[in-house]
Amino acid sequence: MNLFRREVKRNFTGFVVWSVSLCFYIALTMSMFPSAAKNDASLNQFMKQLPNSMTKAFKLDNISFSNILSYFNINIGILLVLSVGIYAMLLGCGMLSKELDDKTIEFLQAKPITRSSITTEKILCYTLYTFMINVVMFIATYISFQFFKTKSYSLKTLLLVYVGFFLVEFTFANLGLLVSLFVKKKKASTNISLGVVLGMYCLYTLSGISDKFAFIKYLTPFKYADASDVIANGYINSINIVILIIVNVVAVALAYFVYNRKDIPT
Amino acid sequence: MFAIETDNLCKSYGKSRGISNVNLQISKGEVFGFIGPNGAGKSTTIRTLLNFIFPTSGSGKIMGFDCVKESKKIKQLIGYLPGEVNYYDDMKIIELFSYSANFYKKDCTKRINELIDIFQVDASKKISELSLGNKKKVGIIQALLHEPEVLIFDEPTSGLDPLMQKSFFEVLKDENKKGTTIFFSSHILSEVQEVCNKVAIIKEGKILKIEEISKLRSAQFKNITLKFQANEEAEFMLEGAKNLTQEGGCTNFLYNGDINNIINSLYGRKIQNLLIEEPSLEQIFMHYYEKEEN
Repeated sequence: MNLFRREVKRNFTGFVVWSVSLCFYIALTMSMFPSAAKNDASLNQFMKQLPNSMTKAFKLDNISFSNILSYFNINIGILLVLSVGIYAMLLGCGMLSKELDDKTIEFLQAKPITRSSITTEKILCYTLYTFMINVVMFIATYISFQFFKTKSYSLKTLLLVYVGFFLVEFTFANLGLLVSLFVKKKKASTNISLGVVLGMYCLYTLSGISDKFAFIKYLTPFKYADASDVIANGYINSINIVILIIVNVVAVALAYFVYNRKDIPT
Repeated sequence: MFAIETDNLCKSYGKSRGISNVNLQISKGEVFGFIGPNGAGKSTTIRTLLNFIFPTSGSGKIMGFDCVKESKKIKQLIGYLPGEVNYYDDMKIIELFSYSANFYKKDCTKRINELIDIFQVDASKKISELSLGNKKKVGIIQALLHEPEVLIFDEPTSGLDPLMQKSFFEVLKDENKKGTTIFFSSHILSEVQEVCNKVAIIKEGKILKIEEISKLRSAQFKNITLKFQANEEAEFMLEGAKNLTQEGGCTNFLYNGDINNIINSLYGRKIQNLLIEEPSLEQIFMHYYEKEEN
């Protein structure tokens, strides 16, 4: 667990920076909820004037500003899952790409630790941080809700929203690990990671615009734990969860497989 | 059982790089030099033994453990210094040492302090602040601190000043007295001669020769350059002179015999300059090539 401890320490600052700034954003945005809820009727009037495709694309249809969960999802949730998705994928990608690019991997692999253990301890580290950042976000959201709520809401639904977020972000983290094994340069793999998360988000938006693009939604992790669906239904579609879990298992298994056979470049 | 053993070890990658059919047998307690020019396959051999890269065919063993399947057991027993030292920039030297020591699950504090003294390293400095030579020193300490049974060094002396080289070789000798097997690569023959019992010469991925240092010494060539004074006849012939070239009053050849023969044949002639040098590695290679062709 020597490597795990080292990785936790090395990535702690990043974790704090992301957590603090996102907590701040959650608190700030939620503080505007009471006034938004008061103007619910006029805001809904305004929303009706927006083009239909636009409201659909940005999931603005069927929302009510007086519902604290919808307000949270529209104003915070999407940005949150996108940001933490990027954080998680960069974290997953950085685990090996930093060692490979800085060539410190030679130091590590000359120590009595198997390649599988290296992979395992690195996965544990980003799993911990991806999980912890969601715990922190959840607590921040819960506290803001308690402060600014106008009526009662379902805590269970909020929790499910975060479970969905975690699943999506964790998928990105595992994909990041996989990317770092195929792309030699750290800079390139960082850019690819950013591109993948943003690209997936674009697909997710596109899938909402028109039914013609509906099939695209199956390609993007964001759709599988869509917070607006969770809030509308009160549960996460279990098939979606199964699909996400399969994607994760395959990505992780592939990472072990590739790294255990990989020649370390000079 | 050999400390290090390879059996027709091959690694091919890229177009021309790699090694083919490398057979090495290094006994326990031996100091073994691995010599060759840059790109000859020294690092490739070492990196294959350490399982950084996978062999294309053949196999390697360290202390009887297979280098692919039992790599973790091997790593427990070895200390390794890479040719290019790269460590974590965010760490202090002492943090790197304790991080390294923690992998072996034993207390190395005493040895770390000894080594810090010998190599005069300021352990509170950050890795990112270090010069190349100091990084190398940190690398050497890192390879020694857990008192391994086998030491593998890739070009250990490059970047070290002569004084540090001296202390480094002293440490190697001490380690060797304790029974440690030492395997190190270099492209400088003279530095290998000083500490090694045996050397292997590698070129273009193939082992040219494995020889005990004592034999190499007795078959040692000198590189001799002569320049006669301007009014002196520049012609010079000597039995046993190899690769003799004459150019602009300068005569150059390799010589393997008794130095007195040269002195005698030069007696009475007016010389402007006489150089007797260790031949360069290239010249020794040429010698082995010629032998091979015959």
